[in-house]
Amino acid sequence: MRNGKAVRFFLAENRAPAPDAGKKRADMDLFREQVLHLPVCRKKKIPVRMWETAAFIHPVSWVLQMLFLLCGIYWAKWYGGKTAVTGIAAIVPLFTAVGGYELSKAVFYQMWELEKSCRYDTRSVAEMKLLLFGMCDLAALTVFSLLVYGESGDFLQVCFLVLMPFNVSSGVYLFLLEQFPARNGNVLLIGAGGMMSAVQILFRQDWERLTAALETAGTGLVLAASLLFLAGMIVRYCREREREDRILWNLD
Amino acid sequence: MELRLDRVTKKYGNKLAVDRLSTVMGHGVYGLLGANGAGKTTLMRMVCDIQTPTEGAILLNGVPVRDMGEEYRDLLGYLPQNFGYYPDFTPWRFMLYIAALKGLSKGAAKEKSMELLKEVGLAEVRNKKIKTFSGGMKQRLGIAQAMLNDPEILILDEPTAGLDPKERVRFRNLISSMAQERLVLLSTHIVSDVEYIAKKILVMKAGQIIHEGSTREILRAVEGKVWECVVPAKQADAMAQQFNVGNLKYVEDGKVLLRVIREGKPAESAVQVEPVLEDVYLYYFEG
Repeated sequence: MRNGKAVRFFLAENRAPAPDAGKKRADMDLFREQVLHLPVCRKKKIPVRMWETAAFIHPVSWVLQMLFLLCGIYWAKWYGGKTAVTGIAAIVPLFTAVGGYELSKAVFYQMWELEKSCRYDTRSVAEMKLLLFGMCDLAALTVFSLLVYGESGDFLQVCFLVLMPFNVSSGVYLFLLEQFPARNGNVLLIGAGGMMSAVQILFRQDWERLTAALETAGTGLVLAASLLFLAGMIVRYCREREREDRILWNLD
Repeated sequence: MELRLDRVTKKYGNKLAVDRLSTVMGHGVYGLLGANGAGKTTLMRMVCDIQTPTEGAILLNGVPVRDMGEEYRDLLGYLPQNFGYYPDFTPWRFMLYIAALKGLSKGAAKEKSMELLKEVGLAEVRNKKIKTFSGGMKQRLGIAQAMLNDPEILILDEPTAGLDPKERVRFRNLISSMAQERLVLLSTHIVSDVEYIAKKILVMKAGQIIHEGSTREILRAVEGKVWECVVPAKQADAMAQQFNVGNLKYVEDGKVLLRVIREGKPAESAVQVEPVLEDVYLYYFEG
């Protein structure tokens, strides 16, 4: 402690001599040379990667997702009851389609080859987008679930009109994107989303019969199956990003 | 630095795109010359670790690039034959996007992007949509993105496709200036792209390197086999059918000047001339 005090006193009393211009210049040159030899590419933390990925997602995608979420809230607040639940049930598959489109842009626009040659390749980009949209979807799902529960007071409706359709529609989109990685993929997604929304409306119309059938199968089991389906499709999709035999040789 | 391709083979089902190809490359420009379907793009993709060889290995300083993963991709700059871009992208945004994927920090990305856009003459139009650009401007943007991480290995697949002659010369000089301290592998079927700047030319046919060496060495393959003769137009038509004809130029009095590549004298009046790389190309890719 006494030593520390003595050192502080010594340092306060003695000033370091100013470096002469030549030495200063030589040090700066050495520093510049060292900086040039630093690796250009560096490992980035996941939050940084997520932030960067989010910054390059088209603003329209964010606006669309927000629009669907607001539609659900508006529906619930304006109509209430059975109509609100039906509306939200129809919105869920469309909401998830937005993420699907963003996910497959690299293939639609021939960016995959360039992305694949980078440190963070196509697979890494797809995983980051899945994580990002997964988080957004989770937040929206919570809102939709609360709205449906608030309107119907029935947890079964939350399961079968929000959670299960979310899992199934997301899984279907991933399957379609992997099977038909074409430029018109967004049209395919909108088409599939529209169909699934229609199915949701029909389900809601025939709610009594549907719940009877689903309860027989077991609510937990049906939900778990839909979750497994989604997980399987995510794994399949990520693996497919790595597959090469889709790349056709120019003579084929 | 040594990039070694050791009996690299790639099969697509029954089709053999690259057949037990072996070569060694160091610093400098390497021109990969071959007709469409020779396997150039497949080879390039394998060198970029985008595709995996069915057999054989690609080694950087003795280490398989497959095992190096992102460490290898950090050293790589790639311009694919058909490089795409998102429709809403401007060159500036495109560069920042690729920089993010290459792992550059935000500050370094901005600095390097601006520096490269200036170098390729696109700084002024950096905020315009890429979709409004000409083919040449897009290619220049392509080379700029490939240089973002200051790569040691630069792979350019048909970089001059769709460029006019002036842009091609500019592009060639740009590549030449960038090749001082790195390996540049450039695939093309346009002979003049590599004739003047390549340290070594690899002639590829049916998935194999059929000839490799400097321009001078490659030219030796056709030394004494290039002829020029002036013949009547009717005879020229017959000769064009029969021989490997490089140039055919109508001169005066219904006569034609022919440049023929073949072992023996094609006509009585034929004289031997100095070969150029285009003759080599025609010699190997005849028919």
